Amino acid sequence: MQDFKKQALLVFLIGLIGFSSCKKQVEETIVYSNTIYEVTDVSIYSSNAEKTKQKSPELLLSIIYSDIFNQAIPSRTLLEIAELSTSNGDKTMFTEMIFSQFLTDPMASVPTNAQMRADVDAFVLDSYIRFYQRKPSEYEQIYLKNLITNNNLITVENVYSSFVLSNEYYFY
Amino acid sequence: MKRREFIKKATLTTAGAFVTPYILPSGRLFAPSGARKVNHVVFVLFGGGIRNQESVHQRYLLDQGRPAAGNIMNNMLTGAAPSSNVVYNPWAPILSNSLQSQGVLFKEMRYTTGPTGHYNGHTVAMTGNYTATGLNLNVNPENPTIFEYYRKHNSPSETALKAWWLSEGLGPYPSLNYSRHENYGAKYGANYLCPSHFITNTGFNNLNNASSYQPDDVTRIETMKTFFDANFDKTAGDLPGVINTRADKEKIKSMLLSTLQNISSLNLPIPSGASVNDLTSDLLNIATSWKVLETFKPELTVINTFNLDVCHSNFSGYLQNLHKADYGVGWLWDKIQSDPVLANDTIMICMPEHGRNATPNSLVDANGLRAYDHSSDQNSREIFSLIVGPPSVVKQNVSFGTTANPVGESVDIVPTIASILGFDGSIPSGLLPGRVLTEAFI
Repeated sequence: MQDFKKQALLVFLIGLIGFSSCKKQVEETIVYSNTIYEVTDVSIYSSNAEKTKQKSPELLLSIIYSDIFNQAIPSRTLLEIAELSTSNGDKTMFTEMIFSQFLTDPMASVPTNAQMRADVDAFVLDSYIRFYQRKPSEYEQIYLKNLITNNNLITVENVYSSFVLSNEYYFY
Repeated sequence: MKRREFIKKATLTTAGAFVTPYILPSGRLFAPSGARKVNHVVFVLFGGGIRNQESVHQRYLLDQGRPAAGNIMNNMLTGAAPSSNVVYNPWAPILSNSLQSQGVLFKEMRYTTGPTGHYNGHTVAMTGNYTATGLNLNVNPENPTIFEYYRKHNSPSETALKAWWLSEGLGPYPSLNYSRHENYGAKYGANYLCPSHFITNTGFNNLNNASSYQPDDVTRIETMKTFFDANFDKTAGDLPGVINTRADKEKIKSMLLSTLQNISSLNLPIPSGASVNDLTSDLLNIATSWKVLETFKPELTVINTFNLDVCHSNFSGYLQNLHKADYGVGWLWDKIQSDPVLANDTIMICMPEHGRNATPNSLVDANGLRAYDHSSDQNSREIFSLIVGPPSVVKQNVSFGTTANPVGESVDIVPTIASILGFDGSIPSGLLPGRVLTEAFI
């Protein structure tokens, strides 16, 4: 939880920097920081056993968006994507397609492969928090770190895709 | 190698040689358990609500009080086109011989019970059971669909890549690729696609950079996913949707993304001289259906047309869209006959989901023509069906049924498809009230 408070504080400070530059930007940034604070403060899980409800297809799409872009999905985008999803029979296949599209977006908040490999421990921790809203167990941390470290072909996209396609990601 | 191990391996190898699948010319492994008539069925729910008067009776504008009769479905039916009072833009037929002449026309079939609503009609045609539910509830049907019968009872069982449902529009129709039946459901469902909401600018804008996974990516992703799943005690298998194998997912993704990202590659069912503006969502659905057929050679494909439902307020538009949908069906059959795998190994069945009323409503279109609803009167229960296929399997240029003696019901299509693909004998008794339309076959 300490890490999240630090993270929230950092976002809040970024918000303060914005405050001194542009009024409009200030308002947006403050809302953003509050949202982040609220989400991390409320939604963090101490274990995955707390996740009992399955996400609806729309909720899943909107959460994927916010996990990649660090912001709420615009309602128009959600409507468009939900309609495309409805137009396809295989929902997990569509999720994979839209996820691969998100990852190529210049606005996506995704580390590079070099950044991942520069600090695999931090990357694993961040990925668990980003997608599962919980910290990895010691075993999970070591296993995934070793997997990434021992296989130079594993990319950030591979890791993120695995999280998004895993069963735990479908639950909250 | 130790002696015991050697013997074990040798035994397995020998046994394997005996059970090695025999690859049939059609590309199938093993022969199916039941006798098949052909290996591919395309069922066109020629929907939107079509009156027999403007289709098989070829009365054109006679019921509007104008002395003009004729056949506006000149690809599907045999007969001369109207020569006067032409209120639609006629397209020259794509087929030199009508589908009627290449198969069997059940001229008077019946939709016997239940409301004549679009979703009801589709549900009845695809489940083989009449339904009393009159609401367009966006839930999967109660009774198993033809896709589930096929995937559960066909031997050998096939993946969802071999069963497709493509609908003209959304609404409740995405729910028809599998049922809520406890013994069937999503794991026996068909792939579903609605091209008019997917092959669009919205689709392009949201998926123009999307990609399929490469095989190496799949291996790495699956390794990590397996690890994650092992640490979580629930599965997301209940998510609504059909379940494809990993390999099939990548094939479908590749087809969808290449179509979206290279839209000009899609063959369009419009005649030379017509423009893209003439393309209706019915025709886009047919074009995409051909893409699916051409790419995956599915054994069971169900598609629908729907645009002529404008008949509620625009009779001229109804005639125009009926004429275009007929062209699309002819175009699709022409394409099927040009494919080395599908030609002479495909039976196509066309049937409206229901008819329309005998009496017009109060609306009049720009040409002064009265509009028709479909509110469960006797006329809206009168439909037709066309079954076309290879002359060695399907009777040619034969028709059955008269107004006084109708032959066949809409619930008969499901058992007929099951019979064509050879798995009708495996379906548990009591599930299907209809019968096989045996009259159609040699």
